Amino acid sequence: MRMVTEEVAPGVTKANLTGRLDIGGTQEIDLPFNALAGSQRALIVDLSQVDFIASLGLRLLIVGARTVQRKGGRMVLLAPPIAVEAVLISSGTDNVVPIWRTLDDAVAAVRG
Amino acid sequence: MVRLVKGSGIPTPVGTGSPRLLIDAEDVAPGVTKVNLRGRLDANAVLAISPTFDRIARTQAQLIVDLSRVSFIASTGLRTLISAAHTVASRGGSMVFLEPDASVESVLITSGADVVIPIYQDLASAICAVSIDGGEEDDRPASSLPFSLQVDRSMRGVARAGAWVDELAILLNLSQRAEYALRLCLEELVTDIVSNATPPPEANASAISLRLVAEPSRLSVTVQDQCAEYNPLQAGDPATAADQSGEGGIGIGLIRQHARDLTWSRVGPVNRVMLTIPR
Repeated sequence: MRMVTEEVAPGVTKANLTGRLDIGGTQEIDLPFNALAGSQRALIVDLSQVDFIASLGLRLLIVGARTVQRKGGRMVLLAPPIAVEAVLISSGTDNVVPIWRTLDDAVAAVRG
Repeated sequence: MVRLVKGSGIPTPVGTGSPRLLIDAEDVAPGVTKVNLRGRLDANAVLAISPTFDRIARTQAQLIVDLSRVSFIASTGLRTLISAAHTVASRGGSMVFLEPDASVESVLITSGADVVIPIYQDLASAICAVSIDGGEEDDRPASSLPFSLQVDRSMRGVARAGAWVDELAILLNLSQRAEYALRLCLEELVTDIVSNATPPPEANASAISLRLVAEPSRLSVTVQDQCAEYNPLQAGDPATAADQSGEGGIGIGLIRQHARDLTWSRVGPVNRVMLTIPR
């Protein structure tokens, strides 16, 4: 599991996750991801290269989103593969962290 | 009628005065063979009966293995019997156990052998079971490959289960969808057992057993532990879980969406979850 961050617009950070958000992958990025969520007000989590997620990974995303929201910020998810998106939706995670398909929409959403 | 099996010139059990066979076979109904095993099935005894047993498994389609006079069974014995059951199943037959005593039965259950080879306590039921199963040759999978793994009841065990899925995906050439479902179900179930089940007092009973039978159209998965009675399928409502910071029933809700035929049962000292995943 890898996480690389980039600034895609002024004040807007995109975190690119690559790999599996299974127990091992989630533990690997747990600390850096939480630190990122604690320091950003406009965060896009790019899931296009994530090929697995289960409840441990969902928990990471939900806690991250809550952390950002508590400071009045916004976090969204970008372009998950179909199988991952199905899990995000069926678990209700998309009610807490909205899913967007294009970067432009995601940037607009986190800017409010 | 007792029909002694050819080639049963088998070493006698240690410590008995007179020579006696550890294995013989008889016809108990048309097409139904009962194999009678006797004594302690330790590693040596298993070695001695294996050739005979294998020969019976290769030639008989409906097999009852009478354990009523077996006082002990070693894990090597179970492997031999399970492999024989797969030989029988591969030819469209079926095999069951008859009347194990309490200690042998508990070994069969805790090892999960009874998932592959059902246990019956009376001969009539056993005959009925093999006759029904063995008759439907066309419906049975041509080949079913069994795999099993024991993992620690810990988060490291959850990770080990994930690595097992990596191996199985390659070995069985699983579709992405099947691999995803298998990974999700095992991760969620093992995590749930690790987090919520009450561990057994005996330290050596703390493992979680995973078993997978790969049939042509589906994967049959069994997850069992020896914790106190605990049904992970009764965890909370998945719909509300995400709003409560992702605790509780999310995982079980996801399992329900990725698996079929989901059941939980308490079998002797064992919690057993079974499910299937389409390939």
